[in-house]
Amino acid sequence: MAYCPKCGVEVEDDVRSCPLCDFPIPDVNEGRHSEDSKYPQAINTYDEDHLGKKNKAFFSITIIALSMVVIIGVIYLVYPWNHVLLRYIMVADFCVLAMVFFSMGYLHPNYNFLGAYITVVITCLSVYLISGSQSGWFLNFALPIATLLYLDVSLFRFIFKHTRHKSQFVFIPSNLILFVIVLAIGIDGIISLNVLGSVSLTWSLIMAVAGTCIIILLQTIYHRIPEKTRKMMKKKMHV
Amino acid sequence: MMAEKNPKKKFYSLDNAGVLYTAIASSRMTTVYRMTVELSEAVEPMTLQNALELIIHRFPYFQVTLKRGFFWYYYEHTEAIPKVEEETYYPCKTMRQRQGKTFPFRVLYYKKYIHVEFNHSICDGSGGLAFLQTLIIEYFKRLKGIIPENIGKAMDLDAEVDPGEFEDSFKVYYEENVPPPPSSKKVFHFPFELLDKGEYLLLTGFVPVTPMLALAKSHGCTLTQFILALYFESIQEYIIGLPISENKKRRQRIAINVPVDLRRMFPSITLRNFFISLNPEIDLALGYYTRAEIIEQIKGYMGLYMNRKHINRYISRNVRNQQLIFLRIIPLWVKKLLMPVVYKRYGERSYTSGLSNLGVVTVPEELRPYVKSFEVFPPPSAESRLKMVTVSYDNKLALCFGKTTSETVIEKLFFSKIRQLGIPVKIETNKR
Repeated sequence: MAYCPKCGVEVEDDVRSCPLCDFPIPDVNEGRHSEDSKYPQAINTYDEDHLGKKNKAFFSITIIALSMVVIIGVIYLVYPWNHVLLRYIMVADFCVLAMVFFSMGYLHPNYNFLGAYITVVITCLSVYLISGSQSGWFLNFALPIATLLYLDVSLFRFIFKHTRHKSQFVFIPSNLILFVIVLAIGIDGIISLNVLGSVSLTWSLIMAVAGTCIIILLQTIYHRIPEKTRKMMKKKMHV
Repeated sequence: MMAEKNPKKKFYSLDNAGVLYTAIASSRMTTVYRMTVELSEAVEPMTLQNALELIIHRFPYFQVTLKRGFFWYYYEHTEAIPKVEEETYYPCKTMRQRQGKTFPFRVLYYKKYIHVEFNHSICDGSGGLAFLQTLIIEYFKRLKGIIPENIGKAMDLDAEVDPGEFEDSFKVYYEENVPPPPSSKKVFHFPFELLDKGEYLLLTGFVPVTPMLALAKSHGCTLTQFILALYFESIQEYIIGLPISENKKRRQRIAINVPVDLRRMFPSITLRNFFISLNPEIDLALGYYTRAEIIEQIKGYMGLYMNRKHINRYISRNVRNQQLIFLRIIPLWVKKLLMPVVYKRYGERSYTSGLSNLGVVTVPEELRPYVKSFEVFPPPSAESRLKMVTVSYDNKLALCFGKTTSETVIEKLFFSKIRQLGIPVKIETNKR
């Protein structure tokens, strides 16, 4: 019989620390462990069960995508028919497959997210090259906007990760508004840079000011105004 | 077709609680509870398997498999025979449905322990215990040739199956025009970090019954009420101990879900679900509660609400909700998508934790030397991360916690209160 010296409860013979208070329990009967333990070393089958279903779904999607590749490839090589359209279909097929792979969560979330970003960029580049466009929209718009979105979502995820245990009615709206402000400023900047040749923000500034006010309001409601500031404000405003 | 002694029913529609349990089941909320019995010697798997094969025919309503209908799940009879398994996984693991092969229960063994895990959609603790007791009696009949005289609450294998054993007693006692009970308020929830999905921790404290009962008597309440009071006090102490920045939490209500077995109040012999939960509560915004005040509060609450008339409001509301036509016509897959969210938001918000007392379990006199203890663990839940079931056997009261968090602060406070009363506690857990 073993007892926890701190909380005084009897514990099983083979434990090293008290299951209640984590206080270390001296090992009096060396050697004869685990024979007496009441429960086996449990196996968690959740991942396995879950993975099985996921693999099945992904496998079916891959088969469909690959068979499409084969069909399109054969048509492309054998049958002289609208080659540009076939190339578009091929790009779309690969893009969808890659997106499904990254959204399945096989990798670490950060890598999945990066993968999705790279897929978008490569798809845009492919479409740009296939279309043979002269306007340079890929470098001027597609790449900057995709990169902006990637950075903005990264910022949102970073902030959300650190605030998700706080009040969801305050922090989720604040984060979303911040996300929209950053996105608006970025898009406004990219458009003005391309159209006017220099960065000059217009409508996004209005959004930024309004959004910032809402964020400050929400955060003030959550944190309350500190006593010192309140006193100072009362004095200044003569109330 | 072979002429059968008991004409077996082919389908069993779910009872009122079963409908809810199947709809909310997920990989975390498995709705599976566990009953453990400790024997004096290691379990013989072959004998246990034989015993299970012999008794399963007496429980045709458990020899079933869960099927998906278009609107609801239902249970269908299966000729397959359940197999006993050695315990290797976490307790109360999700029950997968494979057409015609899986049962709503599993029988596990490990060393000296037999565990029976039941899906709550098929039966409640009372029905499960009847099955477990029958299994133990048959096991020892095979192993040691013991034929007990008085089998107590266990089922007689030679008797005919009474249709009352699988009736939906909620429907029997449903009255159409009874108004619903008052709606419940949001209460304090444990802010502990959840375990990974699929994991579940058990922690049992064994205490002697006699001194606990004497203490309960001296406070003028029942044993359940006394344990409940100690539990309330532990949660209150935890909240009071929170840092001052969590000021809002210190003014919340604590409510504990206490299931009431209705079989005594509404005569029924059903082995399926037949219980209603009451939520006694204390409101910390009103100030600090002493032990005597908590006991008064619980006694008053139970005195006011534990009667046929009030309970009938819950039964009637639940059955009425189930019969609402616009809920019935929603296809099952939509229900399955919505119900876990709805339940998480509204079902569990009105209680902090649960405490269920299954009372005294007995085995026939002849088996007492071979059966050492009983434990029952609640099904895992995401919102109420710590729940308790108590059961007593042979002057040993098992206070069984099941939890989806690795925090032990509440149990520590709870058992230290029992230690301070001068009662010895023995702790067993599957946490490593």
